[in-house]
Amino acid sequence: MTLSLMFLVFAALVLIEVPVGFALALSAIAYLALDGVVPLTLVVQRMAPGLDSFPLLAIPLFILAGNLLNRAGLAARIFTFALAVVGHIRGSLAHVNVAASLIFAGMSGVAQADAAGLGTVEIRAMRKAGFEPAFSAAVTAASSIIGPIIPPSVIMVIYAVIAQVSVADLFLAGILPGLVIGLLLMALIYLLARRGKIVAPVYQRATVPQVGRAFLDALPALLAPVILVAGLLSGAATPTELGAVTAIYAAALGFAYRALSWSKLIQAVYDTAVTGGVLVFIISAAVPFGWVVSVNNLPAHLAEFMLSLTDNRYLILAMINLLLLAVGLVMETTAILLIAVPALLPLALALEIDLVHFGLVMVLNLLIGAVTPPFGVILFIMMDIAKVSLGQMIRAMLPFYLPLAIALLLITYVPEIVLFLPNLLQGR
Amino acid sequence: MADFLEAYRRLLAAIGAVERLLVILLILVIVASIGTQVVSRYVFDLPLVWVEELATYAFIWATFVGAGLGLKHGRHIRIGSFVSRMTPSRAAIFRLIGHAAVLCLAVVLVQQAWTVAGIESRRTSISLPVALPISLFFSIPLMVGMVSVALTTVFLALQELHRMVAGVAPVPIMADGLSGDGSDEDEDAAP
Repeated sequence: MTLSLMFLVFAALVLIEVPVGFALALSAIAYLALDGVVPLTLVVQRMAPGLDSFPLLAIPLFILAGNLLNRAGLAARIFTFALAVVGHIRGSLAHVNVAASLIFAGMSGVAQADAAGLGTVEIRAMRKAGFEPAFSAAVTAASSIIGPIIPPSVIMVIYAVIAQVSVADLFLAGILPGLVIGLLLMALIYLLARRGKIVAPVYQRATVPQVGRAFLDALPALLAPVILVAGLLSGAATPTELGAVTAIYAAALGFAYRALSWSKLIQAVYDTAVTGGVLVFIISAAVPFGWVVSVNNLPAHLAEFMLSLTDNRYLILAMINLLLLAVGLVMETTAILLIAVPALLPLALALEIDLVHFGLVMVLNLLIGAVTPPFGVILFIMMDIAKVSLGQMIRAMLPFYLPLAIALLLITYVPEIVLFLPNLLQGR
Repeated sequence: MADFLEAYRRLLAAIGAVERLLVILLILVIVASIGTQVVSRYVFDLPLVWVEELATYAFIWATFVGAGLGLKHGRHIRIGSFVSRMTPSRAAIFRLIGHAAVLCLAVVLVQQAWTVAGIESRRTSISLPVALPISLFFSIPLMVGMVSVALTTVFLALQELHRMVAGVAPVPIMADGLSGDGSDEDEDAAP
């Protein structure tokens, strides 16, 4: 009874626009005060110690690395390289957009950084080439989902810490699904272009020397994801350490390109502290909330209930997907992850679903929520950059939900796409 | 009221400037210590045990101080649903209720953190070169962050009241903005 009251308090606070982190901690306090069994000190004893985790440190480090790479002026170089490689395919700059996102995803850990940083460059170029702004915004929004799927990824770190799986495994698991999403998006763009839905100039196929020059120009930028993946595959450094290495590399690159000054560096650090502080505060506030949920055995009851409906894992995965998609429409991504992961873990374990696979399914699902109205964070960023209305944006987005849905189905029902790389590494 | 609010805003901006310096230093400590650890392990074959602990404590401090700053910049993630679409006077009432809720949380947390600090001071840090009470890295940063949140929330509430009574538009607390600042009304950054 008190438990449902906690959820009600949380919902009410979120509805009156109390920040999500404060709402989580406050509803846990309300529960403890009403229940009267455990003293309120529990909240404090869970919040700060909940952050005493080395893997979580990767979050500010990868946010910083992304901020620095954005400021180092790499977006333009990556874009030029992508243009030289795929600019001649029918659909031209739309493909370039997806390809650039694939590369950028290997450095940036936050979808918004991808959407805002690279997105600005891409939308400007597409507008110049005569693409419709709403279409450009839709391509950028859809392809920015790849960012948190391909490592590094802040949201994957959060999942890994809650589900107690290795961040490195989860990072490696994201690579192939990210490529699959990219290919599916490019396939859709190709089809749209063939059917004359996209009116766009096709660029001449770049000559080999031109591609070579663009490659060399982008090489220092391309090295960042290479360092990361090599570090993960060899196990030479933990993801947190790789975060620090990437951040330092990005700063060095920025100075070498003369795009970064000391004051810009400090500004990037400050941005990181505030963005990270706000995000990690939600994580710490979710710890006491999660404690209340688990002492009430809610996850076990939920698992029991779902298993009483069916014990077909495919059906249950479908139900989880639908449930998450529905919640993702009205709630913020990190908060859902923090509440849903502990609640769903016993069910996943009972069904013998690999937790790394389960993580990919959840993360992709929640990211699709971030590009779906009414509360699609990424959509709002794109509308702002491209100066289009919500109506135009949604209409342009519609075809893109198809490849995203196919990707979700593939990743849900073909675990091999996800698990191939991590298993390869561990020789299982 | 206007003069008082302006003085209050300056006070918050001054606190914010200190917090800004602190979080910048803390993030640099995290990057530097973990960077040093990698170098020390591979180049000198000398793993530094205490570095992880130092970085983690800096991270906890940075989080709670950063959360306080986030409120000053209007950067906390909220879900813009009903209130943003209400008439200004009705929205103001709901925002005041929201401020009251946040203030209530901050006060309870400060009070509880005070109690917990007493319990935690019996434990000390493990691998740092000096043995410091663990409360210095757990309950105290939370308390510091929440005092900052409480002060900012009282200001935001007063500003809201001032707007209701005198129709004065609110001013941002800190002048040196973040990139992409000023999107308080809608849903903000998330991964």
